[in-house]
Amino acid sequence: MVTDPDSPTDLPAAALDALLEQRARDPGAIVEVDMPTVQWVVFSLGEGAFALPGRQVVEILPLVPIHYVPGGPPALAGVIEVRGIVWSVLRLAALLGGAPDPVGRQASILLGRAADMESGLLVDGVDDVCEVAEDAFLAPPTNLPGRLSGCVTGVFQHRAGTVLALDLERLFADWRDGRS
Amino acid sequence: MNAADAGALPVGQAINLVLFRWGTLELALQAGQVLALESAGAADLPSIGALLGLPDAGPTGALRLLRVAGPTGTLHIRVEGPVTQARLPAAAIHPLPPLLAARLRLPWVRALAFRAGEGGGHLILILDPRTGLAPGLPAIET
Repeated sequence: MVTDPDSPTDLPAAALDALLEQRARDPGAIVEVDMPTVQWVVFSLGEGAFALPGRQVVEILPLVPIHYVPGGPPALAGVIEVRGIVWSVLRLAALLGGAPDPVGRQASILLGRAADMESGLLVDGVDDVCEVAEDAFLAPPTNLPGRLSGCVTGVFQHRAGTVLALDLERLFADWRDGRS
Repeated sequence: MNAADAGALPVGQAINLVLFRWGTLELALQAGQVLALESAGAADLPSIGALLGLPDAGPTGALRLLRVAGPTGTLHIRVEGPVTQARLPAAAIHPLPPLLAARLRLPWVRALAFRAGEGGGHLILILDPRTGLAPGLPAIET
């Protein structure tokens, strides 16, 4: 038999039998299809929507008092203590080359961890934690401005808007090495 | 190493600190490094603000003079009072978060401590003169 490489993958006969039997029992039922997904934490910075992989966000905190530490770049907001652990807090907007908005009531702190680096990240607000199908994740636009061009790994649609997915390891490494 | 692994002192230990201020900052030295507390002293002696390169906001309280054991001699440093002594448990003392340490330009800052209080408590910067002075600062050894 000659198979068309462009045709959908054949189901094993037993799986097809089971699927047809299920459809016969309940024609309106939703057939579950295993679709790999990735969890994302979606948040806002200014007018933009951004996301970090859920596996890199240890915890989402409401805005807590941030203790100022002098002698750091403007992106350093300070430090916080979370259950006996001290975390640095960085202004994510500043890491991306923008001017941070004034901290509002909806602001949150994401405790992020990537590679062997970790820090709190100050964002304007967390919008959602959602699962996104891998095939809904698209390559980043080629016309991203400034530092965004090196820190965005892809885009996806969420609530009728476009979300820019960030490379946390790159953001942390650039900060650590003085490139941001 | 992540912060959770970066414990400071073993549980049960404590450290004696001499606390003082500079503007809104609360600072500390290990008590063993402070040799004496004196009155304000001559105005030409360096302040802790100048030594650390802090913004020139200026102190609002009374100034005192600390004699501090430096790496090669005794340092005379003007600080803002009140100057107090405290014994902080190990659990209250933390190493600098690595991404903070990587970009912090303040010399002498060796660790952080938190003391309970309103509004999330108070942050204390624990200084260690053995870590050297900022480049370009005048020699102050006496």
